Amino acid sequence: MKYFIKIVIIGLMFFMSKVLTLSAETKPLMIEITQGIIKPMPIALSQFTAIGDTTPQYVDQITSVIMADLVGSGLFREIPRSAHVSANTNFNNPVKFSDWRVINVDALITGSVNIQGDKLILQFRLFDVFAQKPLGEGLQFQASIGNWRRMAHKISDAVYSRLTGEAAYFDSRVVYISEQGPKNARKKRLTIMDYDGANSRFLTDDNDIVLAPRFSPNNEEIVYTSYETGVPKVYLMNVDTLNKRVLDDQPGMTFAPRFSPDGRNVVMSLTDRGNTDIYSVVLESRRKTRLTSGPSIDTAPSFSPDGKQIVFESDRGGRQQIYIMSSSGGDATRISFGKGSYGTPVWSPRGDMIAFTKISQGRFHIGVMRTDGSNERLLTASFLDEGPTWSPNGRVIMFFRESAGTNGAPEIFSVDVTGRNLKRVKTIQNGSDPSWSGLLK
Amino acid sequence: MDIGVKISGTAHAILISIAIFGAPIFSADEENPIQISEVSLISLEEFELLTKENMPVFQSEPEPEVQEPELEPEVQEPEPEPEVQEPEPEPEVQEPEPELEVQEPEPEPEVQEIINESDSDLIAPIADEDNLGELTPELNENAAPKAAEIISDVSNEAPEEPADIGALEDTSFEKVNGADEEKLEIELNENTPAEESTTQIVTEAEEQKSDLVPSRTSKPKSRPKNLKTTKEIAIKPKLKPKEVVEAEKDTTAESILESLKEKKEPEPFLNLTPAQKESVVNIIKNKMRLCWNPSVGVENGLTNVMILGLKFDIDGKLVESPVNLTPNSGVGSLQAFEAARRAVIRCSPYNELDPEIYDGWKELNLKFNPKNMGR
Repeated sequence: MKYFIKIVIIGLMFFMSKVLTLSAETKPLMIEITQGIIKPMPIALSQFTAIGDTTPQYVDQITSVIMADLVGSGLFREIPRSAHVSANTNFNNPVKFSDWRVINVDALITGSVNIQGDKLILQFRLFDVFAQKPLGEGLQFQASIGNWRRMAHKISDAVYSRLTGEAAYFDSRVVYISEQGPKNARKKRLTIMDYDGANSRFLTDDNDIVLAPRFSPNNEEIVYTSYETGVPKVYLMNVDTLNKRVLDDQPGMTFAPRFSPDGRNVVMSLTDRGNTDIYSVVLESRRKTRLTSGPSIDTAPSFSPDGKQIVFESDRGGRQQIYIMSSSGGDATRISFGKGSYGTPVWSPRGDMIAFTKISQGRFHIGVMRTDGSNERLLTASFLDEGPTWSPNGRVIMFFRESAGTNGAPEIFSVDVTGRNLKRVKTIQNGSDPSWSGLLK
Repeated sequence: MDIGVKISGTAHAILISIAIFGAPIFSADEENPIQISEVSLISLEEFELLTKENMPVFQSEPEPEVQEPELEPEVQEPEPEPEVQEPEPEPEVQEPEPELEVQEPEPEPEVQEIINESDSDLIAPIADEDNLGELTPELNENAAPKAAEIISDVSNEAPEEPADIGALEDTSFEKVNGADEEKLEIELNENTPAEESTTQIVTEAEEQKSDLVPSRTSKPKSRPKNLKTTKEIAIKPKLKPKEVVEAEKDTTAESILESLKEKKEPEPFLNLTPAQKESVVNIIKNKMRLCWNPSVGVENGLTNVMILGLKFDIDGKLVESPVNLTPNSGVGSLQAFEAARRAVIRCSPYNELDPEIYDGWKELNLKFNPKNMGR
């Protein structure tokens, strides 16, 4: 009896194991890869084909801007032209992928520059070298020759978007404060430039101190603080016409302005009889609404992208910290709890993070945190880092860094949200208080 | 009672035996005369139908002198790529890229077909000069004079002198340190990562917080030896070139049915021992460690997990483009797949894999999980 039961059990076990083995055999082996390398993607920009009246200098100029954009993002690395095995003599010729693979190019950009009179036509295509196939459709841009730089940025934006899967930021501008002279008598001027420092243009003279410019959502206006009347006041300026007007001519100091996402309101700080609170001003009617109250200093407001909330700094808890409240005011929730002081919070255009300045142990940092205050990450550290502003795609932060000493001067830097790609932005003079526009239309 | 149990036990044992050894014990095998009569009864129409339908999968006796086709990924045949790889419509992609090793002059594609001026999803093309005048106000002849020119007593020109073509400087950024200067070095060895590559992102703040640098541990180079004998390798089905298959179309109905019957037979599968499995896993992981470069700096770069299906020939070469098996797709998933695909192709061939256990790795699924990278 026991003997047969044993046989049955053993037989069943053998049968089941056989069945399980057979089913397991039908699936390929799954291997989980968790380790790779982190490095910029190697890309190559084949010599663009010159058509029509195009001179080689123009081709070089345009391709240089494209490559500077992409490499400057920190996500790409250029394989220099001197290493190219083959040259693309005709834009429409098929790509010889083996020539690009041998020099380890991941993505290849080909293009043509066609100048007809004062018209410039740019064409380009993007290829995945290892997959040996084009990435998306080719594109063509047409404009007057004077816009060659913007067209180059447009190509960079398209390439960046296709290779990263996210929006780009190259065709954008920055308004900032140019600074010149000794610390105790520094001349400050409102200045606008392309995101890469090109095409700089002064918007104000150096007679009055100006501070904290901010772009409107449509990039056509800026708000800023000026000491034109001796008392700091918030002004609204059209970037093209340079027409300006004071936003609130009531008594008291106004400063730290910022547009709402729909461009209809401006939030700012107003100091009246020693008390600083945050107010919202309707641009059309100039109607002013008080959003915070109390004896504390509430300042540096910044809207969430949906316009429903405002993040700001306040010392209501005894130390400068970051708070969030409804855009209509009311109770505020503190979100910063780390050691040190926090200030100048700016909501990311994506809505997922808040950039801030942190002062801790005698050092200044630019950092990011989630909107609930979690996942705080410090990206920089120096004698003085301040004034973060987000790129249009919310992946890069521009800020200014001032060096120590009597000869110390501010300079504009940028860093990506990983903290890996920190670099200085060239400006015509020393610069502070940058504000990044949205992508240009 | 005992007799009943014994009968039941015996019956179960017989059933189990049938389940396990049923084929060899009870199989009628080829001596069954019915099979012969089936062949003789096939009609001409059936024969033509069978010939038409089954010819692509027909396999005849292997010819020893026929060599396996070289299926290097860089010499891909113009077969359609798996649809899952490219969600975007790419009309011009339908044109197979020319075989690169055999460059033949082809009619140049029309620019109008490829450069889509009006329907571009990426960026709407700049329409005309008049509109563009507004894009860069200082260059628009129709715009009102700028007060800035009056206010400014300093040159408004960009630092790089954009108007001077010859003197243009290509970048307006200055590197914080000189590390990036080395990026211009060329990598001639495809499997070698760039020198500046890293497996961690350290911010300036973190660098200043601690000078501690983790020391690297070197992994043992030796891999587990394969213990499998070569006996089972001999029955590995060989790949057949297309020309041979084409040449064998003229066959009889008997051979067709014979081949169909052969096809139904289960393919031999070689189970991997734990040591063999570890060997395959280590080889693949070590190669991917050098070739996989996920874009951790972009959105979802650290969260997009991709699964790729790979098929190899016995030389470790990919026989087809990697297939995306990832069930879900989201922001950045296309780029994550492309990065994984590049890694797989870049690391090819995988000739470190032991051909003696080919059946164990002729198909592999790789799961690319970057969650622990970048930090």
